[in-house]
Amino acid sequence: MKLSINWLNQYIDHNLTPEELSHKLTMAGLEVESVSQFGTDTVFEIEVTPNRPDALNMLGLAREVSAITDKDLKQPAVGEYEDVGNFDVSIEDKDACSRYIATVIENVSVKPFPSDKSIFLQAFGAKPISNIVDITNFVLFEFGQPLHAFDLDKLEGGKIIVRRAKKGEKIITLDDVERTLDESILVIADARKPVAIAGIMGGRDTGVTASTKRIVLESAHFDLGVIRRASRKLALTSDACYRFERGVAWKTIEIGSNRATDLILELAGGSVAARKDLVAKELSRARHEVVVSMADIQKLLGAPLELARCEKILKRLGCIVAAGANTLTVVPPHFRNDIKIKEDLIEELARMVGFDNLPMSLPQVSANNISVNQDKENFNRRVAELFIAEGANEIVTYAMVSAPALDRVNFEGEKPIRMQNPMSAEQELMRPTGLANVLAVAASNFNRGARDLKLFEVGKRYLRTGERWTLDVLFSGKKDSDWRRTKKDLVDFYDIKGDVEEVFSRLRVRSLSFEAAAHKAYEPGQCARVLVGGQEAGFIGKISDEVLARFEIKKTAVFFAEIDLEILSGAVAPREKFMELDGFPVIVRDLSLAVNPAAVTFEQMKAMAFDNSKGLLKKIDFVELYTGEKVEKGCKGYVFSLTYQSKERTLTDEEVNALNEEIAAKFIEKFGVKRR
Amino acid sequence: MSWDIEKIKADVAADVASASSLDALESVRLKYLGKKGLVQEMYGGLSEASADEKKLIGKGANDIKTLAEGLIADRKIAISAQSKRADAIDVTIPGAQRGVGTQHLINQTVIEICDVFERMGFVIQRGPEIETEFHNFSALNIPLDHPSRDSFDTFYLDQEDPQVKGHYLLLRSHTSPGQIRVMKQHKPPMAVIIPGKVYRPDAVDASHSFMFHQIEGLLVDKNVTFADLKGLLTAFCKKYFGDDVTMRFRPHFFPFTEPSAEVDIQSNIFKGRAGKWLEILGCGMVHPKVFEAAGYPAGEYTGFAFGMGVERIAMLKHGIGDIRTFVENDIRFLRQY
Repeated sequence: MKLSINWLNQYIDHNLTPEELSHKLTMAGLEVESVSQFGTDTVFEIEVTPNRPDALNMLGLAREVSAITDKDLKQPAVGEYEDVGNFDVSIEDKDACSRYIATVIENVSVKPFPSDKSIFLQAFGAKPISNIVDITNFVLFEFGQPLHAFDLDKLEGGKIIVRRAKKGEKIITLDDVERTLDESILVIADARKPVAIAGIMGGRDTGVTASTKRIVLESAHFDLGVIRRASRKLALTSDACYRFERGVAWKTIEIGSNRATDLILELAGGSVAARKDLVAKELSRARHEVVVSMADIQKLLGAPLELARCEKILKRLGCIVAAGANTLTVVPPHFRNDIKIKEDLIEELARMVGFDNLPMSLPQVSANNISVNQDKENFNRRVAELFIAEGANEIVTYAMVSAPALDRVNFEGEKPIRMQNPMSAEQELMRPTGLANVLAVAASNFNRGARDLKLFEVGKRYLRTGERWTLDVLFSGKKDSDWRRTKKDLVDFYDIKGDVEEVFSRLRVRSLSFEAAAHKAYEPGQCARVLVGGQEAGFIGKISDEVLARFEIKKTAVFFAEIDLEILSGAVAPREKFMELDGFPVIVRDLSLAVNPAAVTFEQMKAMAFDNSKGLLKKIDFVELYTGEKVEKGCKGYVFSLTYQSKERTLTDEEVNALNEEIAAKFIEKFGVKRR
Repeated sequence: MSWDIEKIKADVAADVASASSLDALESVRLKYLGKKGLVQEMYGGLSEASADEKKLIGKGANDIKTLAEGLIADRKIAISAQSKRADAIDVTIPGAQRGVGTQHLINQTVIEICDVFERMGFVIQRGPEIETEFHNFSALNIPLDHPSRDSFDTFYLDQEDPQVKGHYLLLRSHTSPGQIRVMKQHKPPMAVIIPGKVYRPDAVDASHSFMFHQIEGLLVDKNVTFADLKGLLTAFCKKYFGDDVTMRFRPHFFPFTEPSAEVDIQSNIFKGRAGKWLEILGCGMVHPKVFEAAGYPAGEYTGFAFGMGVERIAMLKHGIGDIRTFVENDIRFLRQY
């Protein structure tokens, strides 16, 4: 909303410099966003909040200045007109148009608008056209009531019908653009055709021209939503539309009509031949009283305000106020539908006193009924911290994904949640997996030459059954940047698996296990299902070349893990009791074996070892994997390191050797492995 | 024989200082402290000296010995430090860094802000991103015909609201529905901070995105006032942006608070924006309609709520000009923070 200071000065003697005025308006909630010069005039651009359509006109702003400065507001006198004569107005859609005042004025002389008023319109950016058209704009900016003038001799049938457009109906609007309409759009029509898009813009061919003699002046009320949706649909807005979308006061429809009629009779001559005020649906509300006590003010603001001062402010804002000993009974003005409850009045008082003039205190956050149990929040935060400690960089990607991107990662699962109104096909689905988004990040970094990546995201997957906090991890390229290594090792499956194991073991997720699995995004033979207590919690492995090729990733192996943090955070073991550091001595024995990986997994051998260790095996470490030729075909060389310890006594070499041999014998017997 | 003690002391200092190797230093040591050195010579001549001379020369010889021993020992350390042993390493070569990772700047900002409020007694809560019209709009006193409910301003999903037939779930357009969820579950007093992602169908450009992060705060109790709101948010701004921050509370409008305000700040930490008011958060006293929607008895509680945009704060604080930087995840950007 623009404010012309010269125009403002017509209504109030405020004695403020433009700087002071700008500051005071801003601190009263009418933020001055920019200031510009227009000749001798200073023009503000003001951000008016949507609850204040009453401030979208010069008189509304002058009223604010009146309350800020405690100076009188000089309102122009407006004549009153009664319905006379006969003019045919009908409203077909009573919800979309609740009131329509048509004033027929005959024998007008169309000529230029006087320059003393025209200059104000120009400050608002409105081009001077003719007295009639400029008057409608003048009253729009003065009182906030949008108006339109038709040339009555161009209205077929000499009548006005407010109706929905018919599908495919066309109109050329004042801006010379032909627009195609449909049933969602409300129009003003004559007997045959639409002559205006209701509340937004008039038609070119029925507008006032130099030869116009008889006009119909329209002042109406249209439904906010109908106007807004039509404006969006047609991508067309206007000063009138802007005000209708925010709401025009019921009484202003009449005041605006009368004010324009006054000015037309004064500046264009002629006489009122007919007037019809058609109310299709009564929307005027009985003004209700709002009572506020000084105690209410103290309670909400934490500071007292003086009753007399409150009374004065509210009166300046147009309220009718009856003061009691400690209360004010207030009837808000007809244009302030936003004032409904005492809190609304307190806000009016507070903003006029100035928020910065109110005191400050610190609240007592004495008790908090929200449990301080933040297990899930802390779990997710710790997962991120530990991956950072492992050397990974956290990323944040969109929660949305495209259908083709899901196809590229061979996504198979329940139908993803789809948006009804996506911005584009790129973001039409809520992601049921983060793989496509994280791979896209990797690909864009690869394109910039960065191939050594350790990325992770703690984000969500969106399933029809709910949102799930999920961890995505991606590794690619070289293992580390250690300059001492002459041969730079590339990351492999065990790097990403190791980090995942380490992080979750730190977080005491005890029952985490992995089993070989097939998954359409991963390379066969290098993919594991992640299990927590037997429940599937995700997948980990090498992304297949087929998938990578679709992201234009070549010659770089990419490892990925996607793990459901909801399942993992639910499987955190309680903290263990402190374990004595000095127990009985440990004895370590190695076992070197030739193993056929197709016949047995490490997990199975480990379980077998523990089952046969009489409770004396403390841990079993995997220390070497040999894949060279010195082992028989189809087999690999495994070296395990077994640590034995008793909780009750010192073990002897003899008994540990025997036990170690027994375990080796079991491996040989059950799994067909050989000693090396 | 007479000795110029002071001159000898000066000679010792000069000889030691000019010795540039351990060998050279050893010859200096021999010259003064060796069996045939000067100090021994001084002691040797004592038998022929008079009682007075004895006293003088004896003290002089002792002083020179102490001085020479001290200087030579220091010089030895200095020479050793300079000289290179065959197996000495270049300690200036960079260490083999394991490469600690980085936290995304958005999450760093979220955690920094939440930490300030947590220290003031607030508790973190998370709400769902997929919300109902009730939580996102109706309960927050946003009328049915409000433009923010249009599909131009809110993403609607193909999932029906299980509670309300014919109504669809949506992506929350702000973190404020979290207020309703917390209040429906708990009774005051409460002080919560709700961070998370929010969504609006805005075309992507340097300052707009259809997904961004907000942090919501809510404090409800008996007798919470606007003065408390001002005090708490002032404490936050000073803690987070620095003590020299200047603030103002400017009246604004939100359907779910009354009175409502926006907080603008000025600070030298915002490079190139000195002297400009920057809008940093929205706030206000919880609207009675919101308490009503939460099922609280009328008039029993007061409270305040506030909300801020994380991207905006991170961009201002770090001088980032393009919001898209955050989701591009360029490794060079990630490693900067």
